[in-house]
Amino acid sequence: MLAAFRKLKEQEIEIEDVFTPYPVHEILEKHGRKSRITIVGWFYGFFASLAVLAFLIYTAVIDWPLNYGGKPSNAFPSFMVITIVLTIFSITILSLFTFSWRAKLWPSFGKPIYHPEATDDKFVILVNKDSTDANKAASVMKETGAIEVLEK
Amino acid sequence: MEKQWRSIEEFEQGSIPEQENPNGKIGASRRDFLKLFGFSVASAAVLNSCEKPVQRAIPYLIKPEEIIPGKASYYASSFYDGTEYCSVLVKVRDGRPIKIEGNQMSPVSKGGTSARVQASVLNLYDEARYKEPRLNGVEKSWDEVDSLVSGRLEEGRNTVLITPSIISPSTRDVLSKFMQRHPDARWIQYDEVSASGIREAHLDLFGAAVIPGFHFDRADYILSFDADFLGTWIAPVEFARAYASTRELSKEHPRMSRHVQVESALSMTGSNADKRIPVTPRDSVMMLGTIFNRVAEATGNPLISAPPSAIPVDALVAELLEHGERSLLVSGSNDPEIQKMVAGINWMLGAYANTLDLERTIQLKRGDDRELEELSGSLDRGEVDNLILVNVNPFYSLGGFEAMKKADFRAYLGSALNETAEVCQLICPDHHYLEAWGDAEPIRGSFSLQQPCIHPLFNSRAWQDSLLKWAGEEGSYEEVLRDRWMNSIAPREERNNEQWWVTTLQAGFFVSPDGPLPASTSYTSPDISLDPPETDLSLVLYTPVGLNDGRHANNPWLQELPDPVSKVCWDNYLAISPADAEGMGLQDEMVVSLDGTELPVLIQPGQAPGTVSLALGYGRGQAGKVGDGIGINAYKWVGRRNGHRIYIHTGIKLETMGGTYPIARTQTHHTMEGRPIVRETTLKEYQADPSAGNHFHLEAEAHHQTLYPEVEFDGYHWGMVVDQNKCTGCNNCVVSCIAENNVAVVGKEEVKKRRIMHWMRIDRYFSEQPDNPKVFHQPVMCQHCDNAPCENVCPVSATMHSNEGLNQVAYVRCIGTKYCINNCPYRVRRFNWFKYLNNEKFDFNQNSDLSRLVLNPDVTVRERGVVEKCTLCVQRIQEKKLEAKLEGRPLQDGEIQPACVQSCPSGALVFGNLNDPDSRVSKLMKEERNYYLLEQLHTLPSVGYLTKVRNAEPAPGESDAHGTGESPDHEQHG
Amino acid sequence: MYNTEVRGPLILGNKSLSQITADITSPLYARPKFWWIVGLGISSVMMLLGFWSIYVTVAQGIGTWGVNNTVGWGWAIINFVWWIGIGHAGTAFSIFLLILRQEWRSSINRAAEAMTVVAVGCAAIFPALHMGRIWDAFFIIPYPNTRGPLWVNYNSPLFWDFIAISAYLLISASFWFLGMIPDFATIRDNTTSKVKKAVYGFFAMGWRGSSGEWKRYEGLSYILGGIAAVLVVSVHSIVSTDFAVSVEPGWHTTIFPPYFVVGAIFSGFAMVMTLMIILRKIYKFEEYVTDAHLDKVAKILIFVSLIMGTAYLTEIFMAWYSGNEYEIFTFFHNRITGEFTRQFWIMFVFNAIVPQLMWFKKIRSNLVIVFIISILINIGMWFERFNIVVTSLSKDYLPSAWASYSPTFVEISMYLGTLGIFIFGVLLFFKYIPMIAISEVKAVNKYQLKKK
Repeated sequence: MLAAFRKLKEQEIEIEDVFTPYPVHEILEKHGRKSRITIVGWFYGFFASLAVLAFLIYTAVIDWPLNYGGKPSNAFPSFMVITIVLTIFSITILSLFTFSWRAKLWPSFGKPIYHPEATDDKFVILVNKDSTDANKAASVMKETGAIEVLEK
Repeated sequence: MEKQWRSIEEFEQGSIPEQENPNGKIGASRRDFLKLFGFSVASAAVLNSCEKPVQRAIPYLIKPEEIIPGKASYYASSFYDGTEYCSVLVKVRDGRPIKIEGNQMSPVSKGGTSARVQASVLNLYDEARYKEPRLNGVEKSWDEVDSLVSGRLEEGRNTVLITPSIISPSTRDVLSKFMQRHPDARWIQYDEVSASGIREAHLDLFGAAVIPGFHFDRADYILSFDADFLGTWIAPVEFARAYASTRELSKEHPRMSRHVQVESALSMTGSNADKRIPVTPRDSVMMLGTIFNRVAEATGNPLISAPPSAIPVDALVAELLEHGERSLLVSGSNDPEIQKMVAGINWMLGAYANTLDLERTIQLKRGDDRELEELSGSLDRGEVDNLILVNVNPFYSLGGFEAMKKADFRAYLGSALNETAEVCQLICPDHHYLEAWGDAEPIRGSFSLQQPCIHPLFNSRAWQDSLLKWAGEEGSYEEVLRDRWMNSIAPREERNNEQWWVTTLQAGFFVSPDGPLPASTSYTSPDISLDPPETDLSLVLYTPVGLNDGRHANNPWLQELPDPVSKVCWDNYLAISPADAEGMGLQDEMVVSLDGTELPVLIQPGQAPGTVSLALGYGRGQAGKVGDGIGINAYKWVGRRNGHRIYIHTGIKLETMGGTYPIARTQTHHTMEGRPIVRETTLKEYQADPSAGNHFHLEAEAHHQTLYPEVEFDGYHWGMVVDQNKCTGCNNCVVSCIAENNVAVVGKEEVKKRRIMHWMRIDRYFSEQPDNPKVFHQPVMCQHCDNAPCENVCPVSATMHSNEGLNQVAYVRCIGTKYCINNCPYRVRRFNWFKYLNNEKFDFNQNSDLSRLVLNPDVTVRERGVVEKCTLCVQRIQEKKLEAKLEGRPLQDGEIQPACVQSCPSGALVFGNLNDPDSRVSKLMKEERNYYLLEQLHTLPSVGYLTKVRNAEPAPGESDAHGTGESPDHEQHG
Repeated sequence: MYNTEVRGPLILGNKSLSQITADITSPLYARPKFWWIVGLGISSVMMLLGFWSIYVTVAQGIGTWGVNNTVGWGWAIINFVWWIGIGHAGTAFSIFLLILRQEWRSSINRAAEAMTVVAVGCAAIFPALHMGRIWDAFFIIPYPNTRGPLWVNYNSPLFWDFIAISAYLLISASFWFLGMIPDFATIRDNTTSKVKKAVYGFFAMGWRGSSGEWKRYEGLSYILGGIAAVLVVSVHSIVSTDFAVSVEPGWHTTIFPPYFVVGAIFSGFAMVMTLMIILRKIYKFEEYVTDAHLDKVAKILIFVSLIMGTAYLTEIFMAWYSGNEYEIFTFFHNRITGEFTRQFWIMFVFNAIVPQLMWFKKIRSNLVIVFIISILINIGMWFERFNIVVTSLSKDYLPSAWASYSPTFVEISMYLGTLGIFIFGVLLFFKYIPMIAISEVKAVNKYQLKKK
């Protein structure tokens, strides 16, 4: 299957998408798609922590400072704990939503399922037959030992 | 003429059947229905409309001048329950008394009260009070009662009148009027717990049956034989104040009295002694005899025949002779022989010129046991027809006074349910003392007034009024009283002066300037031949600090009051010495049988071997829903000795029964584990080094470091100092706090689970010698730490620090995580485990509409599930601050007094502003004796404790045991 | 990049991919077994008991428990900490092993995570119910209100607790769910039944296994992994501050955070061990959860138990070395000897000594014994929490306030109730969710096929 993938690449046959039952990293790397979700996650964390800290300082120091056991109202050591946890909290939520938005994953049934066994044990390479020479693609796949080539 | 028949039916039936008209019938029934319906609706409406206002508060139509809604007014009055006297201020809020305060101006009680006095306000709202006159259980009107009784009295039957000791001059007038009208009537004064032995002793020795005035404040050396004079003996409030004044200690005045206690049971007084000698009753008699003879030898007086005491008395004799007239010997026994010896010794020492007083004698305890003897005799012989009992309960306190049933007419004049009343045909409800006029002469020459503070709650009548009525008098008791005060008590120039009357009424007391009559001072030496029998085990009966003689047994505050020494509440128990317990193989809570009565055992360190002790005042059969069947009635063991009731029962046998009986204790660990909690030293060491025993304080101060700057309080910084040298552990502050702060009563089961709600507790520690331990009393309330551990851990900011240094709790905010309870090293925080208000499971004062009238409207009644604790009576602080502000003046020091401070009989508590360098409290905090509880935790408490100083021979080693004797580093993880 | 030669095959019997799918998903299609229904019944009864105790507590008050004004916390907090500890297994497994690239985890972590979610859920019940006024629980949320606005006290460990636990619950749940999306898709595509297709399809959220999805999927799982790694450490550290921040002797120690985290992982792994042994017995998963797997877990347990022992001894040593009489009393006169001796020694023996038996291969490979040991560890860990919570409180600074504590039936049945919830949840998981991460196993499996 990887062979077919490589060959198609060599012959500049544009590959629409690849479906695999588990992550095949070579494909993920070669197949030109970058995911920036990690970077986004980092930014979420950065801003979340700032926001939390600001909130804590506003509520505890500026808005209504109270005397708890003789501690200064700006009890930074306590704030750090809270900031860390709440940052984690917000990163999770935000990146979850981002993921489901970017990867278009949300409870839905609409999407076409090209091959039902792609999630079981088949590896599927999707080629757009309008954009490229379908026969060529088909032949390539055949010779690299595809089990079946379906045209739709 | 012959009868005509109108129809054949008529012919047959003999009469025309009544033609039934269905419509008519229906009509009739409809009308009836409508009538009934209408009536029921109307009546329902009426009833409802009648009921409602009773439940709701009604605004005044015309406001009484002295009542300002929401503002408390105080009336001077006098507490006298037949055995104990105290001059008080009654705090009246919106027309109802809610708190008793000490009358600071009184020369007798000097602002102090006792636990019983504090709790007495609740008796006013006791459901067990009699509400209507009753004859054989049937409610009667007063007129019916009067006609009935006067009728019986007129018939000139043989009448006996039993009253408690009467210390009221005007009541004596009433009685004399009554006796004039009914000359054949006999009047007997009866004390539940008698002191007639003292009177008889003084009759024999000085020719006057008096109880002398005791001046503990003038005594340098106090030797007490079984007299619990700080707890319940005769006039504890007066004695405590006087005693405490001799324990006042400062660098300027580094002297204090020495107090030696010789006793069998470990009494509260004994627990405060500098030296305590546990002995059996027999030994104490022998000791007295020997002391008498040794003193007699030394002073050249006639001896008595007494075998030498087994226990050495040289030291005592030496000290007595050394202090001479500045020494004071007292004995709690009611045996005239013992009292004669005591009086004799005091006389020989010259104490009657100084510490004892035959002029300003004590007027309490006037009962004569011999009269009682005669009475019960004549009752048995059926010579008494009319028996009138006034606020006495002999049927209980004589252990079943069956003889009185022989009198065929028995009338009871009293306020609340009790056993005696229930065996009387006629019950005449008497006022509670807060509803009635009255006066008192507790000490010859000093008078005090009692005024009504609330309109009588029920259809009751002052018993003096009843007697006047039955004596055929027109005037009321109030008039008699005014007459007495206006015309004989008032000094000549003030006679009939309304102004004088008003001012005296406001002050509440009056000391007659033209001093009392000189008393006879002729002394005849007693001739006694002592030979008490040997006994293996003797029972000592004592009056507990909470219930005293049992007359207040239906008061839940007193029932839940832990005993100062054993910390047991809701029960009496047989206290036994550790040695005897080991000998008999007894352990705490095991059940033994004494003359067939089963009693739980409690091992009491300091109990003299060969003795067991048992509290009177329990085991009430008919006291009300709270007091019924709590503990065992110990009066049945009261003995008789030549006509006087003796509270010792010699030669008893205990047999161990199977099983145990659980006892509720508020403290279950009794030693300090060598921790510097209560610090003590001896007088000598203190004189050498004022910070003796308190060196650890300096250490802790040196160790204090802080990451954060300490908070500065501008304006006020409230604080308190506890002088452990003055505190006697009398529990007055505990009840005062309960009354002021609406503290809930939780009952025996919950106390056993360690869930008592008291905000103020008095910790009691024993030193490690179980045979005769040193005892320490330490009042612990919220320490209001400036670095409060409890505040840091509350997630919802329910507890935080005020800018006046108070650690405060917002009940509405509390969600009850109990974290603050865990993190309070003093464990002063209390959790509301259940709903204590209006809960059948907690059927005490907070479960009845009547008793709830005692609640203080200034203090929230806490909801289930919130944490509460001492607030230093923040409501009082705010009240006084507001007053000062309205009057545009600064607060004076000592103007604000939390409940516990206000009425402390020994003045051991001082409250004030720590920011004011001249306030008493900050002066005391600068004393070398001052230290803070668990100060090594750096919680910075606002409550200081003054090191306890004992006037004892310094024993090397243990002297500083609670100070620097510890391992050097007390830092919490340094 | 994967390299598993050193450890030998992780999955036995050269499965083909479709075989894996078939094996793992088989329980979903099989009819519920008898024992399963029985288990469900028993656990539901326990749950009912739990609900009864909750009702009593809320209706009458905390007074129905054994706690008092000296020992303010009892079984509730003990169980809370215990459950949280167990809850650590899943995250610890997935995260640490994911980060350490321990491929063998993939057969276990699904179950472990499931355990986590249920356990944390159980744990959350206790702090909620031990409040006197649960109906005001929302006070703990710092939201703008009409009381000033009055915010909350950020110094309170309980507040830290509150946010830490809720974060932990959310993250472990989402991590778990994320891992299941591809498998749901697999089921969706394999199943014949309409209902299953719909339900699993719904949860699969339209997963197709396209390379784009895989990329982001991996990205996200690494983010969550990294985050959760922090959480594993932070959550129980924060729980430990409930005690470490206080002034109580025996609580106020700096060793607590690491000590608690290790303890948590300890009890967690022990519980995983227990479950996996049962699971592979019942479902014949020996080929996926191999002896090798359990052997590894056992080795970890030995190691962690050593750390526990060290922690206990350190505590005791520090108490003595500090010379602080209160610490000394708590440890030497109230735990090692004194009223709570039994509880202390149960803790010490079960946690620090018994696991050491597994040094011996014989014992380690005898699953019955290992099973028993894993149970004993969980008992021991429960008593550790008892020691911490009760002994310190019962006898602290003022001897006058010393009191004892014993639980009431209400407290006990509340504990049983949570056990019921736990079993119930795990059973549902067995039945309706692939117990092993299919896609991960496939990935692992692939390289083994390649090796040949």
